[in-house]
Amino acid sequence: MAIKHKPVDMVTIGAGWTAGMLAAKLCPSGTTMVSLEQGATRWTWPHFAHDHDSLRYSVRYAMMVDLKRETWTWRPNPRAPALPMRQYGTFNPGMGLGGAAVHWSAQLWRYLEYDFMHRTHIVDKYGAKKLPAGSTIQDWGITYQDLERYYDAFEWDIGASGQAGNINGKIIPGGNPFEAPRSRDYPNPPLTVTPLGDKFAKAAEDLGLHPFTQPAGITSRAWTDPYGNNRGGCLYCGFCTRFGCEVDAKASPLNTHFPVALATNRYEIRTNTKVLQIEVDNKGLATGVTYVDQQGQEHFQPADVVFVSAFTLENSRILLLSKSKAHPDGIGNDRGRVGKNYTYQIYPAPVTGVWEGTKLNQYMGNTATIKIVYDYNADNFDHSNLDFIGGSQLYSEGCERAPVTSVGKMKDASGKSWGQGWKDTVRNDWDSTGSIVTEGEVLPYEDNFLDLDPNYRDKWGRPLLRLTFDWHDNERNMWRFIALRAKEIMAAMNPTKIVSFTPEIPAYNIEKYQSTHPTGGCVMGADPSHSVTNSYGQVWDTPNVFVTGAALYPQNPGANPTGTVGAVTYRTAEAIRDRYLKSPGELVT
Amino acid sequence: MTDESPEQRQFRLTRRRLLQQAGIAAATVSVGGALTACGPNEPAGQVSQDTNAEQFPPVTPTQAPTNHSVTSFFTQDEAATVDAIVARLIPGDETDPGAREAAVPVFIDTKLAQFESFATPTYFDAPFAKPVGYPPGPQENGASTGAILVQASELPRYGFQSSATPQDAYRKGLAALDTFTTKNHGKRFANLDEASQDAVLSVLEAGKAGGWPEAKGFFKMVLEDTYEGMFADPSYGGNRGYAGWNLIGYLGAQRAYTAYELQHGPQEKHVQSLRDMPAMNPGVPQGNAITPMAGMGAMPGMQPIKKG
Repeated sequence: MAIKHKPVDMVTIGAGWTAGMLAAKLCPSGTTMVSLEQGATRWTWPHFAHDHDSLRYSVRYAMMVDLKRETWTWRPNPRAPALPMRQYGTFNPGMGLGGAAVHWSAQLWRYLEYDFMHRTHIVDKYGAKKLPAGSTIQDWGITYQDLERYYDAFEWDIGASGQAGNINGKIIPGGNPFEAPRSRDYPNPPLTVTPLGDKFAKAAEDLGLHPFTQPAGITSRAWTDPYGNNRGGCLYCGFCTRFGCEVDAKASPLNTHFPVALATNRYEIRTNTKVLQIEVDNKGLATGVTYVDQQGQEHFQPADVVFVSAFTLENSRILLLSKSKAHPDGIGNDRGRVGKNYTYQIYPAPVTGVWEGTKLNQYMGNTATIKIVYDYNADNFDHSNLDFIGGSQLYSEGCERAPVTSVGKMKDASGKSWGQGWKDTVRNDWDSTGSIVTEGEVLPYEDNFLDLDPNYRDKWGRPLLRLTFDWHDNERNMWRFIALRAKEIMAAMNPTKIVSFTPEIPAYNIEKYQSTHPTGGCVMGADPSHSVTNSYGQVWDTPNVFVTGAALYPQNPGANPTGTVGAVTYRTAEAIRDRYLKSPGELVT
Repeated sequence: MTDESPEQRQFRLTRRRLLQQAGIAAATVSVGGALTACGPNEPAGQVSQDTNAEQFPPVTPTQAPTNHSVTSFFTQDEAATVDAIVARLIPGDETDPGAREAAVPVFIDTKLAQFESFATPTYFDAPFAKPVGYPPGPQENGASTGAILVQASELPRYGFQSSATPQDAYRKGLAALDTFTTKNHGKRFANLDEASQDAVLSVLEAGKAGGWPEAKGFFKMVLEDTYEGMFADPSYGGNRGYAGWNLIGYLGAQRAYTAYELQHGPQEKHVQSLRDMPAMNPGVPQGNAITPMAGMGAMPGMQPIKKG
């Protein structure tokens, strides 16, 4: 028998960053909200006070979803069998208060105007024939201009660091000249880069490209945010991605939105609770969520609005699992769109060099102490005579290199990763080696999708989410082009030698970490027959359910998703506060 | 190769229980107070934690064992074989330490004794994969058949799919290695000369050890554990004398580097362990960190994580 809780206005599935944003934006004006977090409570102090331990955090994944309880299955195509990802590999969804936004890398981007108008842009410029076969790319239903002020608010709320490249149309030297116009600069200056970044920047400039420092959700100096939260400046300690930040330099919901929301006394987070499904009434509207606590006791939390605000992949799964008479295939899935437009990003390093005798200090810093070019991203270069659309970032390899996760990737002259020859290689070259890395767009395709696995279940007996995903020709062709551009830059960086070059994209595999940027599955759009939600994340067939985060993205640009997660969530929160609460129903326009 | 004796098993299980208790004690400290029962209640500006659980009971280096034993899990014979393997994976001597000198066998033995099965989060539910020589189709009703068939050439794309725990994989793998070398070279692995040991390890790595299909996975597991033992924080039992970190010029757990150091290299810093690094703001209630302005109170009962 489920314990029934007193009704609240809103409930969020998960207590990650979007839950924190919604609570911080909505609770101050009177809304009551409960967040249900599957992991444990943790705060900067004491939990991150003593955490510079690569084995615990990077090898044993102390901040990630516990795969003993649940995982994801994968297969390359619908004709192949799916198997569970039994140990960590391709991505690292988080678990615990703050979710993945605590262990994130804090690479912070705005998407380009092109990204939101993807299909229209390609068709207008190159003709419909340019669209790759089987791809289901579409416009977002909102434009960059719709989001600009929310991007701005998010960046200033979290104390972002960076150098503007385009303020109201004026190109600013040192920034990204390809970025869309922003209304003002970042609140904090860019982080310092390592010598590898300097070499990359100089080489790129010599080649006529436009290098700039990675913008970051990391304060480059002490900072007091608009709410009064005090944050330390980055210590460049070398323990950032997969770690919590002990001085709150890396922004997370723990040091931005949760304190604001909790101070209202109208917000509660219940940790170590697992949401099983969203309940609906006989009209098909949500009535709340059912969850279990750690003893297996079931609870029901009634709410007028349900936010599906867990990690991207779990959001699709929750909708698919929430089956009822009114929604026999799950919430949002009346037209069979949940799980569609699942995309990922291209991540590997096509080229690696060594500068013998030169120390690069790559074990310091973080993944934002680097230089980047956008010249080959998106449609920033002419595709008329190319056999693909879209593009990729190219950047000097992220720093914070940890021995335990990096020595095994090095090889001696004979290709071995052990023995005396390898030992001499790591002795001489461990901190003299550096790569150029991609972060490339991936398009959605009809045969890349998410559904419920028929064979594997989680700790609570529910089907795992099954990923059907592989690269297609557009990704393979893009890699071939991008890898050569990376090699040109590497050559101009004058390494002693190039130790590896990968001209063809390696087959996608679930084993190797690539990025925690899976997107799609609950995509937004202007047309209910091709989307699950409207541009506010409001589910077409169940309008008191809202989806947040990167599950809403119709396709995956060549940039990290979190900046846009913030902007879209801010826009949704404002629309709910100013319009939905006055007249609950579908948010049009 | 001998099987584990009842005495050895008893010792191993007792030891594991002790280690687990150390972990549980640490978890109690970390979670501390401010635990609200998960009963019906209204939002009140709080984080209510359900009972006694930390996501993963912390087994931090400060709680890790400091003994030098290699037989908490391994038998003497097994330990000798592990010692011989890791000494070829990262060779060394007194002046230029390798995995043996860095106590990597201690690290591996400790790890296997410390964890009931996997040290890393692992989904370990059936059905497990069974390699076949043809494309077997999607198998939408595979759960009832006991195994999911996968084309062998595609299996590496799916990552770790073994149905053996590390403890079983070591126990069986070490025995299989000696069987393999005895059959092909007339000696246990540990008794072969170094060149022959290297040749055998290369055969394992290439997956060409006839009659021993798990050889490649066994090699990979030992190699990864050797990297961990050589290059993880010395508090875990390996990397003795910072042998791994000194080899590559890494400074270990430092609190901070300056922007100048990022550009020009470390200034007057020495290699150190997590044990040597003071916790951030130790003993200062709330440290410098942001805490919720209401609800959490002072989290009574919370203590900074103690230095080792």
